[in-house]
Amino acid sequence: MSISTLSLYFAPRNSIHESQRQLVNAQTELSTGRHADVSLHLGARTADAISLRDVKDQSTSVIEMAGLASTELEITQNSLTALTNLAHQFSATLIGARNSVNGQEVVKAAAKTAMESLGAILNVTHDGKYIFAGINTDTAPLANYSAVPLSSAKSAVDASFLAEFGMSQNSPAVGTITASQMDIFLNGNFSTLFTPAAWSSTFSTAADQNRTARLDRGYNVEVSTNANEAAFRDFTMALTMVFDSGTGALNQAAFEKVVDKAVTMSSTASVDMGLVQSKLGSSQKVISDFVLQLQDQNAILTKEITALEGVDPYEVSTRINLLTTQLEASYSITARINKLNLMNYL
Amino acid sequence: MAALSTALNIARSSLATVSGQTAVASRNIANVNNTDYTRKSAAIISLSGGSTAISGYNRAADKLLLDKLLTATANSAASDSILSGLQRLSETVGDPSASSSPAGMLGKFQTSLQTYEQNPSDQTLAQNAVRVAGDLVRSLNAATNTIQSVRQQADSNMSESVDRINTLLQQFKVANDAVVRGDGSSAELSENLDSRDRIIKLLSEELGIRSVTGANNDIALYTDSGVTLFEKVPRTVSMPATPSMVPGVSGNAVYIDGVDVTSPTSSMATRSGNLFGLAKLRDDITVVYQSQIDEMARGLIEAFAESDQSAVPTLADATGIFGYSGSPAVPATGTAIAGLAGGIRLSASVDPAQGGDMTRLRDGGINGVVYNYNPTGATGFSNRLTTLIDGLDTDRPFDTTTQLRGLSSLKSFGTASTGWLEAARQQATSASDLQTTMKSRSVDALQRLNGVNIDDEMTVMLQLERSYQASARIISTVDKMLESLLNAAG
Repeated sequence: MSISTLSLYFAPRNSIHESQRQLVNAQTELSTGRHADVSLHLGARTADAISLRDVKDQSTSVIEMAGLASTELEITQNSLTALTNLAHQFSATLIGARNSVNGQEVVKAAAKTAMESLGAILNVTHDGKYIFAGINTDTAPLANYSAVPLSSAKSAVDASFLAEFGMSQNSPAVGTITASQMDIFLNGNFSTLFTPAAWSSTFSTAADQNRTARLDRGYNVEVSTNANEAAFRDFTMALTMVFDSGTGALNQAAFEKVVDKAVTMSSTASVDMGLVQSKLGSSQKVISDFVLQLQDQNAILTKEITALEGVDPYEVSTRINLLTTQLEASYSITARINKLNLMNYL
Repeated sequence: MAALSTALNIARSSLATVSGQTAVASRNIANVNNTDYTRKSAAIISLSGGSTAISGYNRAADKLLLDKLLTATANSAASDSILSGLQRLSETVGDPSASSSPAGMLGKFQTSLQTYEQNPSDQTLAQNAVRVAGDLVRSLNAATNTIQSVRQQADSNMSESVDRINTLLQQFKVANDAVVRGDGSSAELSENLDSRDRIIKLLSEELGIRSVTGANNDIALYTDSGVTLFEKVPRTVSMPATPSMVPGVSGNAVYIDGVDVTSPTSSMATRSGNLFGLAKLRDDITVVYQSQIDEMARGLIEAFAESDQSAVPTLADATGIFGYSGSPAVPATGTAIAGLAGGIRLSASVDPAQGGDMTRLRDGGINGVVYNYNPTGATGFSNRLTTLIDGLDTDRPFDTTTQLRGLSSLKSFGTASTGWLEAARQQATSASDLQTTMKSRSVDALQRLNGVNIDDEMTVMLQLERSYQASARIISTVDKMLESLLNAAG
């Protein structure tokens, strides 16, 4: 059977179209390293590609976020170390001044300085956030005790002193307060000022709730502490009693009660600060371990995505060579077929 | 003497036959580039007395090959129209690396919430999260628009296809009548047969066709499902176009001779051709895909709904940052609402562009203070955000009419929807490639049979030329012989 002239001419034309289309795709693949139409190539597995990319994006964002959290935790840890040192120094000063001449003036001055340092440390900010404020990140957790107008903390202490002894701390008559009276005050009404509820209404504006970071679904870690922790209340109590319970004009016995109580509170505070530090330290460890895990996971995900969407460059360049050869052959065949006509030979 | 005049007669009839054959050859050559032309050849008979004549013209036609071509054409047209619809639908997905699909946007949104959650006091991060939420809403709206415009396009293409079928059937009647009456010479008859076959081929692009040849070469046409399209007279094909396709409203079915041929439920539905592909696109693929996008929107509204924060909650849950026309009521879970993705919006009380307060994303309280999760207004409050982020990964029920899993997380549902669409596109692409190949094979097979080969025709012409020369030589020889005879007699 003879073949029609039309199909003879069209046969190479069809294959040329197909080869050209494949050549364009192959060139795209070679330059991007991915399939020309990734979704078409993957079909139902496009869902996997999107999921993998999503998991990778999420973990990249967790890694970035963990970096910020680590910085904050680092700053918190440094602040806590400084505070512990401050507590130790203060205890040392107290013990040294307990029985010395002018001891009352020395410790009062030391308490004032330490209070200022404590305020500066607890009110530290990072990236616009008060680190020790719990979730109340926009307000300084600790008000200045000696501020003018009168801070609510100072007025609470003043009121308590007045109620207990019927005089103010500046009264010359404070020398008449006995050691046992002072002991009762310090362990009684004065202590009450530093219970969590009283503390939060007078001394601190921090929230009890700590900030958390979400590492994964249902996996959150605390990344802050707050100024309402016992450690800070106890240390502030030690400083306040030394600074503002008539120190300067007390009799020696009452003064010794104050110093002894302050030393006890100070050391309790530094022990508690250690606890806070170790709690935050474990958060730091959890975060850095998790980040390492995510980084490993990301490396694997990147490989998987490439395996799914990528093309083998050697295979593509071989394919381009084959297609080019095929196209050249088709062109030359077309030219020959066109010449192959009985008309030319009659 | 009698023998000489017989020879002259035979030579004369041979000249007539040869010129007839030359006419056929030149007609063949003229149509060498016409794919609808079937090669003709003259049938020669010997008459009593030895002269020859042309008895008729043969068409190199093959009913079997033509039927195969019709089936291949209809299948190829169906898969092409499905594929082109799916190509447009896959615009809503884009490349996985661009995360431009609703599923990808959902992932981006979760990442932005995650960043905000870590630093909830940062207004820039809040703004970013709200902006991405807006992008997500827009991607759902845009997907709905794309899907509905594909449906609309399919609907108007169906209407055009119906018009075309009606026109072709009218033309078919003219061609068929001419054939049945046997109008004109036998040469013209074969042209009429050609043009009738051409119309059948065109019809098979629109829908699957079966042709049955009856007495007098009369052809009756049926759809592949058996509905009569043409029997002596064309049957009416009708479909009122739907001026504006909206989600949840189904398009009109195509009726041929009063029988529904496009509804999947109809027992007489056509199974191939452009019309079938368009109907599948309009009534099946886009409807299912829309329901998936709608369910994503509903899942999103559900995941971000807020609940009464009073010590003893009394109020019902209300829609949060994502609202819709039914806000603040939260849509019933696991039940698709047609067109919800087109109506989902960012709540005005969160969107800073509409005077809203973006920290409501962090604190809740879109529906009043009782819904506020952070009544003290702490700037470092992140619990609500954590719940929202986790909510995207929590399994929740979805409508099973979406053809996806009934219980999955919103994010898996979104990616599964993308997978569903791309799987359909991949399948349609390979089906279309296959059908195109089948069609071009059938065209090729038919062409080999009934196409014109110039070399062949040229060779025939050479033969005819020789045969003409020989007959002419006979005439002149007989003439000379008669002349000699006359001279001798004279």
